[in-house]
Amino acid sequence: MQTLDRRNFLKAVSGAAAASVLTVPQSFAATAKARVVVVGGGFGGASAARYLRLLDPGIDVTLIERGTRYTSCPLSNEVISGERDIRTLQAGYNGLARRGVKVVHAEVTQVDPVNKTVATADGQSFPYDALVMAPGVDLDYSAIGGLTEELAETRLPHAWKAGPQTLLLKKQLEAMPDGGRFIISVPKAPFRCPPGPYERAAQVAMYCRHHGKKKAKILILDSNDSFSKRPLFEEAWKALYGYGQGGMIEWVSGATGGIVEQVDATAMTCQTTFDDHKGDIINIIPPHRAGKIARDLGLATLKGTWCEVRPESMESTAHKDIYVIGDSCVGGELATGNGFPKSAHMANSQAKVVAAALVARLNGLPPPVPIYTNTCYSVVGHDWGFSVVHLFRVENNKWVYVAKGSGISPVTFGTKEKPLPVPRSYRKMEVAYADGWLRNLLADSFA
Amino acid sequence: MAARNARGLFAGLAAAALIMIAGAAAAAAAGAAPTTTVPTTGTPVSDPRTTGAGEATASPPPPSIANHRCLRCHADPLEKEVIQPDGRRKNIYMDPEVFKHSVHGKVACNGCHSDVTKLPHKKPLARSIGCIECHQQQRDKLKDDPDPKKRERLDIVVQQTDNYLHSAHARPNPKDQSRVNAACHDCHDAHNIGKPGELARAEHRLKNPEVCGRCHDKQKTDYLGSVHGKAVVEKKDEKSAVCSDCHTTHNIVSPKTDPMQMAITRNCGDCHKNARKTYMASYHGQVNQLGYANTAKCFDCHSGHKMQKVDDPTSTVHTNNRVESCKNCHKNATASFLAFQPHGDPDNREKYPGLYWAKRFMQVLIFGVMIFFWVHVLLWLYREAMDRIRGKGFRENLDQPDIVYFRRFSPVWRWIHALFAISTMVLILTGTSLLFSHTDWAKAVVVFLGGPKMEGIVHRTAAVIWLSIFLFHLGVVTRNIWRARKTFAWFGGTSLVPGLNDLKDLKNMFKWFLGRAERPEFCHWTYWQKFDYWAPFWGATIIGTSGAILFMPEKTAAILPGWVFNIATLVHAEEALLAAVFLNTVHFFNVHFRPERFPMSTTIFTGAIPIEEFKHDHRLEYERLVALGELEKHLVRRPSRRVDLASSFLASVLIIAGLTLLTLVLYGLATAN
Amino acid sequence: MTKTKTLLALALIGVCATASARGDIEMLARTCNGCHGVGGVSVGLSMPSIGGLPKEYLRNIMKQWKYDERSAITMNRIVKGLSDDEIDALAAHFAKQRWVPAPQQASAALLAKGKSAISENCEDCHGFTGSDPDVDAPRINGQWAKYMELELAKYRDPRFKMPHRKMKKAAQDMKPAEVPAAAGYFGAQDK
Repeated sequence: MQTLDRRNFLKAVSGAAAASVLTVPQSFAATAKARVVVVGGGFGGASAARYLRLLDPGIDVTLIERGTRYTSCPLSNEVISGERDIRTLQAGYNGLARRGVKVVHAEVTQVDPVNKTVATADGQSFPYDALVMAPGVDLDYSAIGGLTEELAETRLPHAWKAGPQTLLLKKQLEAMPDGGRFIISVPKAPFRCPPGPYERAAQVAMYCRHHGKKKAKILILDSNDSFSKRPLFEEAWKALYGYGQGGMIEWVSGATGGIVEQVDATAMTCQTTFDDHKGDIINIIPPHRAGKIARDLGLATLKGTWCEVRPESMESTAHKDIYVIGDSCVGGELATGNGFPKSAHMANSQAKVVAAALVARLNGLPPPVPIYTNTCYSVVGHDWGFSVVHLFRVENNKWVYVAKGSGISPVTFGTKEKPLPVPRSYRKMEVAYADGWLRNLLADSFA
Repeated sequence: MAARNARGLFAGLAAAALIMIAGAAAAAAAGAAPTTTVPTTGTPVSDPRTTGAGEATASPPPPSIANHRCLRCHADPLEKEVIQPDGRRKNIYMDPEVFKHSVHGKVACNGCHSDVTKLPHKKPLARSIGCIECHQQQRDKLKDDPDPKKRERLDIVVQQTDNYLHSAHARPNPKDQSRVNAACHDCHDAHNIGKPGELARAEHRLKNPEVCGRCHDKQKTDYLGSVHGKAVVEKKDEKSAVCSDCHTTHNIVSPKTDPMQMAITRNCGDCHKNARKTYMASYHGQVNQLGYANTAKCFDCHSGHKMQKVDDPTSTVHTNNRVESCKNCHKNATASFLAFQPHGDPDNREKYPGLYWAKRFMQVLIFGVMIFFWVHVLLWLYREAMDRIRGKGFRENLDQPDIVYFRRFSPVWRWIHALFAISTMVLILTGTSLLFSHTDWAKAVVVFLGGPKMEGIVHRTAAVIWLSIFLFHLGVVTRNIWRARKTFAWFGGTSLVPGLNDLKDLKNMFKWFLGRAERPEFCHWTYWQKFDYWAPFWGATIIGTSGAILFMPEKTAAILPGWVFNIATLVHAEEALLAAVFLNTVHFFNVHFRPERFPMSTTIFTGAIPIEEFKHDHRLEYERLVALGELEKHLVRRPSRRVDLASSFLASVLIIAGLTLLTLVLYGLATAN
Repeated sequence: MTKTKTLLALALIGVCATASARGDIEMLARTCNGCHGVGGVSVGLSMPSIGGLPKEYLRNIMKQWKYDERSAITMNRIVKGLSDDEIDALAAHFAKQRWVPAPQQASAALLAKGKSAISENCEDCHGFTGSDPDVDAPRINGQWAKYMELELAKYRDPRFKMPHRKMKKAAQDMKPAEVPAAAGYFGAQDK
């Protein structure tokens, strides 16, 4: 098999760029400049900045992001197991800069929605005609007794924002003795990357199986009573690592004592409503909420945790000209439990909606009809993966979850009357598709 | 026509006689009749069952694209059709099993589909298949091969493609000049061309009406309802006629043209052999065989595509409809036309007894007369030759050159004979050119005369002259007898009326022939001269009557039944043939070619004979006249040199013409089939 | 309601539906970019480039996925949420894009092996470099080799429903080692 070396990658990306220029409507270039500030350079923010420039090069786009290099959370569990080099998950901001996005690496401290300015810690101020907020999630360490941000960075890494903690967790795993116990604590939904914890369990199990830790146990203490792609995970766990009583992976639901309330970093125990669990590694994923800056601005209108937005444009329901995308926002068909998943692809999709809506608005054109899609791959073994897709449309200013265009990878194959097991080759292909998907998603957001 | 079965013998005898004459007369004009060589005439008629593309025995061009690669798409039974860019469906399927057994089975696909130089190929593919060029090249490759069998089939293919190139199908389509009316692949499924004798051939044959019908729709509909069409479609009878059997395969031109009509007529006979034979013996067929399409041809009576059996009430030759069909040409055809037997066969006693017996009678007559006189000729030749070797017989005395001549014919007889001879020869020429319409000379003569219509006019004009002379002669004879009615001796040596004396002369002549007696002596008329005189009476009756019947078919049919035409055609020809052969052999020998007379006698033109010669030939008359003292009355001076030369010239011309006609007639007889 | 009114209403709905499908095709197409790249030019090894492929091909496979006539891993789920009109419009949209090959490096040995493999199994329909102007099949010059390998695996596996019989047969006729060689060969073609 060929590998994609850097030169080829760049060639392909520049090809994509060349192709994309063709999609820019001519009339937009002539309009007077509008200033759009994007806060946050994750998948959502980067995509928004990129598409704003793609759709209308006349718009002045400023992206304000703390970091200089972004690490993709999707597929970062593979880094923990050693299946993937973390560098393959990273992207810089040069691509966006080349497209004319003004990339500012700074910490946003304040947003003035009245005067329409964004202030940064280094004292800069950025006026805007429209503001796109993509701050991602904040982790609520206080929700679990005994947990601090400092602990997370040293002894109890959540590794839920890919980066140093991911590597830390990888090191801890490598150091874990055979027969050791790896505890994953899953917060109450909604949280970023709904299948992430279970994928992580599988990746850890795979590492243990192939690195002389066959007696290791992975205990998932879940605050929820079910989880994303559950039948697929359970099938894979069972087949690959053993699942349940006597298996390598054990899952404890919220109802049966999965909710972790307290953690003791010294004793390496976590305390649930029912029981105490001792672990060699305790990977507590704290509960999520919208990014601090968004909450400070009063955008988190849903229980003070999540930001509500308008379906047709992703504009905040709290402030005019401020748009919230990515993991901070909440959307989808909440009534039926089909909310927007907090995923990179979803953020990318939302960013495109914002970009199109903003370009239409700034150019005085009728608002486009938005469409939201999500594709999310989980890799649970070197030859086993699966995915979920989502499709949301907007009808009568409401999100509609399109069940027909959504769903997880098949649990059975063949016909209803004569079900067959899904071929292993099928599962194996999804691993490859996951890789291709990530490469394209990174390119579609950062290139 | 003449006696067919015995014709070989007849021709042989005739040829033998001619050689004999030539032997006696070193100067005998025409060469020996070619009795053995039968040159083929015209273009060979193609057998539709063997035509088509030839076997590709030669090695195909190096296959740059293996066939199995083409067959992936083109031999897929589940996806026989593709949708073309213009949205039309197109069948691209080819049965590989069928192709394998085709003559082209080992040829690379792109050997023919030569614009496929790579795969995938352009779509839609241009139809630039060079059948003609390829076959030509393959044949040229084998040009110098010592084994002619290898290119036997290819030769046929190349010949056929050449024919095709001159055909109506190879012309630009009137509606779309960029393509021809029909290309090779429009008729041939090149993937399924069988070798001769193979099933594919038979299948291709049975498919022929469908293939032609793709363009010729109306004709196909008509044909399918016909007896031929039903046999092909319903009974899968591969022997029944398909389009190409009649229209030919490759050299098809418009059926409105004469050559095509001729070809179609000929082709009917490929199956209906007897019908063709009898048809060709009829006036209709004779003209047709000369290359003219203005007489009735098969399809004129039987209709073409809608052909039915004669007992089918819808048939154009059914008794109820036949007269109507005759009326297409014979506007005044009557019901008695029904009795005409267009395919009358004089050799079929059961079906045509009248014709049969008429023919037998004529045969007996001809054979009797000819055998008798040829024997007579041969013996005479022998005897006179022997006598002359021994110094006997009449010899001109050069010491006493002839100055006294006996006047044998008055000017009126001389004129009558000259005109009679000329008109007879014209009649023979124009008549036999119809009778022997199969020969090239006949065709040339008819072309020379300006076609069968003109030939008819010439023939009939000559016939009228001939008959007029005959009648005029009767008048003169009557007048002469009337004038001399008191002294006219009806019998005796000076009378032309045959008598017992003639029998005695004949007997004595044979005795002399055999060396048993001296040469008999004759009076004014010898018995052979009397035969020459009386024979035209018989001939005039037979030929004149039958000729008049054929001259005026519609008027005859108004009073006589149609079968008289069959009899008339037969006896007219047979009798004329008898006359032609008799005159140009026996008469010529008796008068001109026997050694005493050779090379000719001009008496009939000068009217005078040297007295010494007269004395030799007609001693009894001479003596009678001397006894009566009347010899002086008959003596004349020697004809002038000019008259002598003119007579010799005229005699020469007529003799040469006669011998030429004889040659042509014998050739015609020998080559008749 | 009278018949006329019903018809009028139906007509209006039709007009709106078409208008919406047409008007927002760019928006809809952008959702594909996440996996297939902007303009359908993919940078992912396993994800195919789709910009510039034949409209008919794109339309057919999407419809086949939608109506479960063709197996896929992800696409069959995604396209079920699209209307036939949207599928047509998407196919037309991506067919209009420029085909940008992403020639991938391959060893000389692999190329040689691939060349022999494709001449027997692929060339007749896809052409010598996968970009023959006369092909009916989609272009595959500089298509991602990994994607083609995965696609061939589907064709070779009878459990996958792949409606193109000829492609299926050709793929199944290949020896296992020829699959990556052929994919690598076409992936390396730039023209």
